Amino acid sequence: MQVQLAKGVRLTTVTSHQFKTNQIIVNFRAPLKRDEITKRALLSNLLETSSADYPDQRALAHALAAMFGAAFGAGVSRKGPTHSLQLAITVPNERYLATDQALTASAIDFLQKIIYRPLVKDQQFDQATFDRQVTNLQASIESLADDKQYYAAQKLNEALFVADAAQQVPSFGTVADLGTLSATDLYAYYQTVLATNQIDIIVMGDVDVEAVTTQWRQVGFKDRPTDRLTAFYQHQNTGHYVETSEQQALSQAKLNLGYDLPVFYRDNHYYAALVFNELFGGSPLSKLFMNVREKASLAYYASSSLDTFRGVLKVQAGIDGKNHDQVLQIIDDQLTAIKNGEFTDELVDQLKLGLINDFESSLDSQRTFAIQALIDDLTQRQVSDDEWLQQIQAVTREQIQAVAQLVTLNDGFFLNGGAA
Amino acid sequence: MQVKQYEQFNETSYQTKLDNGLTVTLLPKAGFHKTYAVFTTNYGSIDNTFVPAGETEMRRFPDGIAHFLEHKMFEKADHDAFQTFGKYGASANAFTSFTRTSYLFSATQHLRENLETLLDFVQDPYFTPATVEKEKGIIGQEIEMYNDDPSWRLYFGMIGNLYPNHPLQYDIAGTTESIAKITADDLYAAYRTFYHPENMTLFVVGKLDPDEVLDWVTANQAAKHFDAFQPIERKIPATVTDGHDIMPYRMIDMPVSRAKSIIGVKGLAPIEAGPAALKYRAGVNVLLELLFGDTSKNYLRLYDEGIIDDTFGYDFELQNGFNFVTFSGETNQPEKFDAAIIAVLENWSQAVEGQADLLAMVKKEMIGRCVFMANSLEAIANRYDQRLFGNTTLFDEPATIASLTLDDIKAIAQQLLTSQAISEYQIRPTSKH
Repeated sequence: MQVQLAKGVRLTTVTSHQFKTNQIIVNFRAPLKRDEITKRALLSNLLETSSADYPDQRALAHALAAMFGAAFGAGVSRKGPTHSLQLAITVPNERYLATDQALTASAIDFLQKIIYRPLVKDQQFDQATFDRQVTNLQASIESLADDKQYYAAQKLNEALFVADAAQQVPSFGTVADLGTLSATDLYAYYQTVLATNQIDIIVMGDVDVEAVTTQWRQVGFKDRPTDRLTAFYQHQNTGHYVETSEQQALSQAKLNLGYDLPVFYRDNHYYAALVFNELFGGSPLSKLFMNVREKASLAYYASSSLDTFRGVLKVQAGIDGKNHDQVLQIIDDQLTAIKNGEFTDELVDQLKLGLINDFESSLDSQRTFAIQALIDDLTQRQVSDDEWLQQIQAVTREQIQAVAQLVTLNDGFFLNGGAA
Repeated sequence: MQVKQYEQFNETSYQTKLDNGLTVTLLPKAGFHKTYAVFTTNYGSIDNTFVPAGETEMRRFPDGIAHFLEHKMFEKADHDAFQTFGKYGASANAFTSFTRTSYLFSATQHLRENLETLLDFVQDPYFTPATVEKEKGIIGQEIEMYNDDPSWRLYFGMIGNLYPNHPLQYDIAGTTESIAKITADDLYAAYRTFYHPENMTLFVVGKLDPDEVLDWVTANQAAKHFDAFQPIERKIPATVTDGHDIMPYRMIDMPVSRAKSIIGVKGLAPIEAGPAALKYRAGVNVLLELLFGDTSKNYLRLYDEGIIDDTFGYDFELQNGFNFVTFSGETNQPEKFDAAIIAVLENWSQAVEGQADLLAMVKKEMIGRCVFMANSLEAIANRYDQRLFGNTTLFDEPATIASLTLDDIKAIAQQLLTSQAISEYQIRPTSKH
């Protein structure tokens, strides 16, 4: 059930007896802007660790423990040309505990305090808390470079979106930006977020819809300037392959490839693209898994993934650096094979079954419902579970070949091992 | 079938032991679309010296053999088990730990076919010299990948400190050199020793009808022949109870952006398997929450002093025959980090004595977490460990947690947190040039 609490503020309630917990999510969505990304990441860290009512992490942890170990977190993410700052709390359903505490109402009250009563003095975030979170965010961004799979993926992302700085940087910002932020400016920016961002509130579980709605109405949300955001970003096809490389002291090399694939969420080619990706590198039955990993014994992992909010396809492989040319050739051969229809109908049926299995399995995760509700609000392309299943079943081999024809290799990043 | 009702949770478990020795546990979950099944043998990376079935003498096998065997189980003469699961829309996987090897699938349809595939592929070994050689390249890549992972190196560095004369110190996957020695005959010897149904368990949870599933499994097992079970003799070094074998400190250089430090505490006293082990695990976890949890004074103090940050974490590993605690984090000042953690451990009584209110809150939090885990088929199945905890499940844990008293926690701390059981290991950034 969905109600509009103000223009651009929606409350979606999904009732279900399946789960033993109740989950509440508040999502602030805005157009992706280069100079706001790091601010939003730092905001999420500040909101996650302090508020006027819970001035330090221990006070906050006590409040959560008192709600039988409620799980609370804040985070940021990018989807196409939009950026989300999200707060989420999950509490056990009282009926599975020996208690008469009203945990869901307490959890909503907690979230409202976190959002509307931040730890602020004189129109700025508490300076000590601000400084500590700047230090911590900086350390966590710097440490990410130690994760080589992540590092190679980020380098590829920079190459793929060389024309658009906002698409290039990670959704959690950069160290360089952090040095330019102040506790005063960030608080002013937070006021803008509260006043202008699209807000989606999602409540999922065995809850009293009326009580939940009343509790959220009490916030008194104001209308936002716009009602909808653009959902998709179109990657620019360069038409040719450019590879950048780097050497580090590693025993395993990484090869990441980026392709232009102008297929978008739930458009004409969408369902065929899902099956295509399973066939290319998205499953253990895929061409990449069978040929790069299993047959040639060239890699520990080799897989592909789709970004249907930006129109790109990516491949990532962990390889022995000396096999670079051979791996690149084998990956290209697999794409050619799909274009030429070199795959069996039996395999396509299995891949569809796998997709259906993943889809039905996702219904056993409470978070799926919130993620789907957010995408539905953004894209306005809602389909029923049955329709989704029918669309996958209806994909033909010709449609899969047609998707392969749309794929163009654009960029590569090769992180070679050996001595730095 | 033994039926156990968990009224507070509105859940029921069904358990039985088949004629061939296999223990089967079934746990239906209303409203779920998926079924998750795990087929486990009590055989892990530390079991590298044993008397092979049909032989009489102890033999030392290459490190990493249990994990190698896990990889090779999927490949058959004319097909791969992944393909069979794929045909029935299931997603399958396997993992090897220090003491166990588990094969699993999850599926929303074709439950019977997938269950039979799971039982059949694990109970039908097929190893040839050629397929064994080919696997060495793939596992070699896996080992290389872990070698580049600083967190993995940190953790195994600490295990090496705590267990210098124990097979725990070896990487679960072995080394490139050790796996080079593995032969098809070795795999058959390990298989015949450890993959007898008597040494295995099957746990199925999610969308299922217990009577129906038990019928399928019983029929499948009755159609197969197994030799009489020969009790397994494994050579696992006993824990040195005064801790004199522990290396107190080591460090290495790696290309990392910040130093990482880990403190380990080795459990020197043996833990009795069964409900006592379940209580011990809960007790140690409560103790760690009191000392370092985000509700503790220590946590806030160390966080505000900049000694720990969001990368700080701790973990209690309890398995059959050994247990240890680790505390780790990234830090710019590893000496300061280590000193601060060790000071808290040595002065544990300050954070425990008279903290009945905090204990009540921590217990509440941990009981709530059991409710969270009840949503996850994977958590329910993977917490089950018959050899260690007997036939208890996740749903037995809240009552165990509720029963803990401050005296229980003090007794655990007294025994576990002794100076001779503590060790340090650090990774320092390689100086840049």
